[in-house]
Amino acid sequence: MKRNYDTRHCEPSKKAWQSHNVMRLLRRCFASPCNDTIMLFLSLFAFLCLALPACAHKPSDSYITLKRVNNNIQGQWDIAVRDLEYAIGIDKNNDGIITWRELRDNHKRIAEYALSHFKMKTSDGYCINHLTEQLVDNHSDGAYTILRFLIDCPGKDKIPKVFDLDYSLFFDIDPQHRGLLSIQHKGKTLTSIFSPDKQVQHFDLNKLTFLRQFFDFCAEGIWHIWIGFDHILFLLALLLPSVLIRKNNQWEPVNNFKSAFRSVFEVVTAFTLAHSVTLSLAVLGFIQLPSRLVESLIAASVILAAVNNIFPVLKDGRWIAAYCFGLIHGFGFASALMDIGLPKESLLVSLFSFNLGVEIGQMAIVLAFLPIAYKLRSSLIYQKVVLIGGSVAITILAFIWFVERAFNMSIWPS
Amino acid sequence: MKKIIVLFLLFILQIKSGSYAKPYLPQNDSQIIERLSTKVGGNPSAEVRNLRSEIGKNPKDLKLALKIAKRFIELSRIESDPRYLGYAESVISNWLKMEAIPPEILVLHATIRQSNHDFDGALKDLDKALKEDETNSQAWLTKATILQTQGAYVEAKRSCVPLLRLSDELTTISCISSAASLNGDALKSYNTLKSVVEKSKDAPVQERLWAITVLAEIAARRGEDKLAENHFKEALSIGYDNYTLSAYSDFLLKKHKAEEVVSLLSDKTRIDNLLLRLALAKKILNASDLSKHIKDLQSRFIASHLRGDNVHQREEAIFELKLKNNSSRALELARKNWKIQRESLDAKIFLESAIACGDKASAKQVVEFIEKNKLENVELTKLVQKVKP
Repeated sequence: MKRNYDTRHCEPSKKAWQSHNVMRLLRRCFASPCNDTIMLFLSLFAFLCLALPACAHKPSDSYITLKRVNNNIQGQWDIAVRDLEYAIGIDKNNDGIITWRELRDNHKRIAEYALSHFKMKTSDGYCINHLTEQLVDNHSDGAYTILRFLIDCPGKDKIPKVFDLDYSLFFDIDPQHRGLLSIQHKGKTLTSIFSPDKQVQHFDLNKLTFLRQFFDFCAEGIWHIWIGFDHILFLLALLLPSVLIRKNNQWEPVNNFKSAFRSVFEVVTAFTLAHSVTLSLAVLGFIQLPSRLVESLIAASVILAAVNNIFPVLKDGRWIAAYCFGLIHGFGFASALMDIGLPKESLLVSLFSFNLGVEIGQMAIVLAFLPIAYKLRSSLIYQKVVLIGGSVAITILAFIWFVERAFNMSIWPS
Repeated sequence: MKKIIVLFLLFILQIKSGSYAKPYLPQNDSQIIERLSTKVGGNPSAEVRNLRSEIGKNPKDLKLALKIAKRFIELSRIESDPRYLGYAESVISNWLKMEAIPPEILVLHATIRQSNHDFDGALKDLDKALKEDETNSQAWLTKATILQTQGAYVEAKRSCVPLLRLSDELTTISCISSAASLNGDALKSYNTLKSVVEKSKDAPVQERLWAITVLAEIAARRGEDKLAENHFKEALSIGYDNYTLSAYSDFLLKKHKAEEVVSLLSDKTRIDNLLLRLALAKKILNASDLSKHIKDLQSRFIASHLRGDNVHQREEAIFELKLKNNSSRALELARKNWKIQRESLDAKIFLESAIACGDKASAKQVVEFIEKNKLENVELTKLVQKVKP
């Protein structure tokens, strides 16, 4: 019964999520430029402005970005000037320096050479690249020529969703060259790397849709609550007594379904509210806790919830415990969500849908539990075996988790 | 997870850099867009163009291709520009498609693959080459170097043995001592190599440089700091080599001699490994330009991630641990790096990251490796003691 997801080793690797940066980022993203100039594209070139006095060398890469502009596909292609010099010769006077004049004089050759090495193909045939402008930009490793072009495809659909891309620039002269592609579609970014072994690649943008992503993350949330036994056991430990009521130091069955439901409702709502808050705060980078601490506290919360059933301290206000410990569980969810990898353009969507998935998973547990527990509430079996025995079992299990996580020991055979 | 980290590095970089660069249209015809050489006054473009046109005219001339590919590999070292490795590969690509690839081509291909940390691929090339031509001394030597990098010391020593009859004494003994010193015979290796170095004053500079660097490294590992320092200085006085410079910088950093590292490396910021050492020294000195170096390194690691390279994993692990204080990321990188290379530095960063993370158990494989190989290294021994339960 070992946990399927591994959050055991050491500190969270999310120190980069510093709150002020993320705030600025979000502000920036929602302020406006996101829709037309999308983030990854910007970030690809973010280090340009750090231009070094002496440029470091890296292997040869070119960067292609495709996006929809009005009713066209627009491309921007950044190609290193030194690569072009090697491929077609730009340094006319052989002085080791490329001036704007030399580059400009070769614009036509560059465009013809490059655009013939990048082709889009749909089911209707090859599309045609139309050059619109040629500029210059500085990357961290030197100057790049910028080609902007429109892609004109045959057939009715001017913005095809399913197509092949064929990239072959420089592969004949430098097999270690790579073409780094990013396609921006409806606020999402798809990236890919072209290499001599992968010159032709197939793309299906329908897979990138909003709904698809929504359901993917929702499913991840459901899956997570199902494989996260600690969350289930915590919830169960809090729910077990909800069909009973504590009177004169004894458990007695509740009179009606309404009061059992109310008690369950309180616990579940409090838990949900609390973990949603910390899940969001952690994913958005406002708070970070070491994962070992979080995982240990989660185990401790399960112990406390279960022990409270055996030696009740907190009698009516279990929702308070659900809320307080729910805050800790939220951090656990956050680390799972970040392990999956969050598309940054749709951080909030994935956050929301993951959380929704967690709630659905939780509801399923409650719906399975409540009717049976309600039915059995008067029996001795429920009161002794299920409540007390179950709580003892949960306590032991959670204690083992706690020791494993807090002291970094392995008790379960793996 | 990796993807998300890359994305976030991009964010941070982008935000910290303050503004975005924008493509622009230069206004002045004489504006310099790019300098092709990084050396002052250097201009490889004419030479490179000649080489290309030469091979273009005689694309099937094996001798010419070998000469040009060798020159490109050399240029990649001189200019510290990995692009030349790609050019070299393209020059020999016709032969690589053949059924029976000439052994010399295989050896060059192995060298290119080695530079890209494709060690297994390189070993396959070398074995094929040696099957064709057992007397290719370069193939044996490169094979020994790669095996040593992978921590296979017994096999590495075995690969040095044929050099006894194929190469000179200094090369052979450097090869064997280098591997044997990591495999329980540090002092013996040191003494043997030292006596050979002393009587090989007329050997080629590159060979002597290598031999003396090996001596310096053995002495440093054994904690003989004075000896090590002398050997490093001697090596750097007879020639220039990035590897030696980097090893000497590590030695100086260990001794907290940060100022010396700065004066050695301040003009070497183009080379990632050396920039990292410079930044580590600046950190010790609390220098104001540390943040700029960190930014530069970050941008290089990101560029490397974007194309899916693993060449910088060890350096990135050191960067994350010592300059970004991100021990978990460092451990993750060190662990991945350990699967590819197992030099003392790789063991060191793995152990250090594991200790910083409080995840000592994860370093078990490194401890076992060190014990199994009887690796003598005072620095590692101390770390191992900290890790052991």
